[in-house]
Amino acid sequence: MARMKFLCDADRCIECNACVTACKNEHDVPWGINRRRVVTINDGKPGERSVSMACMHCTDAPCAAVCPVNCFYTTADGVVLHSKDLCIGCGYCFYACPFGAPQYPRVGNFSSRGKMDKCTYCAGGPEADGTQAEYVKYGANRLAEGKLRCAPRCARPSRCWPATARSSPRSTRSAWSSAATAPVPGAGRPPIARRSRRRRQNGI
Amino acid sequence: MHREPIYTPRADLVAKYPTLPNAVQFRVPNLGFDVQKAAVDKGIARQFPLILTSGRIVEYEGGGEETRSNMWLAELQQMFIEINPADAAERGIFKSGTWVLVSGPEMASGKACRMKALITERVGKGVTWMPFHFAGWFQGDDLRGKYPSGTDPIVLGESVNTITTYGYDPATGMQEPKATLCQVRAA
Repeated sequence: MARMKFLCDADRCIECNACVTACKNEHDVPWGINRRRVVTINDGKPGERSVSMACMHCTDAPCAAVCPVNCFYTTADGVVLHSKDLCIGCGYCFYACPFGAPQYPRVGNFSSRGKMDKCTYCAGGPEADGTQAEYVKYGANRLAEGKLRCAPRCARPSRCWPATARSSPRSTRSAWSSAATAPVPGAGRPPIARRSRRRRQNGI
Repeated sequence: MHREPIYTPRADLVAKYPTLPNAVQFRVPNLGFDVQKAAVDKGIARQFPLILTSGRIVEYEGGGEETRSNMWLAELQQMFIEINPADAAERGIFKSGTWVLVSGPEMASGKACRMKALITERVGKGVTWMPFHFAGWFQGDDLRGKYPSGTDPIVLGESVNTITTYGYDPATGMQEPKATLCQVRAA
């Protein structure tokens, strides 16, 4: 089987956030949960580069290594998925992940975490493919529909994602490692102006 | 032929490169020359030393009513002013994301627009930049209650053109939303 990988051309990325928007729309994730985001390094300086970041579906995933309840598993396509039924929201994966991929809904007072949410490479979760139960927890399952591109890949207006699926390991780029440690630019997150439309409840 | 903007930080160049003489364009008076002269005489550039220009963010559209009403896009941005680190430090603004008050030469005295600062070398010293995709706040007041029911965008912010100033293109009458002056202070 192919190993699914994201490859974003940082020379073409114009930080338009179309990938972020397409991802949120496809999976209907609530306000404040960002499975994908655009990271800019050297913002405002010569040599500025932006790159779209999400779960990188690592071969030897650190999140899976630290998970105390073993909720992670890797599919035949090399996609790292997790079970929200097993997840206890401990946050270890967030500390382990070099890309900041795991996201947590706030479910109560004192910023208590809900179950982790992350990019699924549009491959759903452990529930049966295409079911409502799967959609509610993990969003769309485009791979099961036979689509070999995740939703953000299809949104790219500047052709910044030349390829996503590679059968050989040559798709890795050194740019990823430097981008992962860069501060997220911009004026910060806006306050939640009003309750967002959400089909999915917090904490699922 | 170069002409200095009506509100210019280089008042010394106005005598050599003045704007066009006053004229009537299709019944509408264009008093740019008088306004420029008054600005120089009053020393506006000393009170408002920063150049202000405005522009576009790739993920937003026009005045932003549609894009700020879209939940996925609204989450991405809020109104800000880009300011050079040197100018920000002079004003006691040390961190991106802090609230600042921005005033312009044609605003009533004591009034200011409230937005967040983005401290960046993308703008040179003496220059500030704002996106023009925001509206709904006016000089610090949230006007959400004045939108017809159900039409208010998710995110509101100050409009840059509250701060921009007089000036009209001699051929088309297009207003001058790109070259003016402002002053920034920490909120």
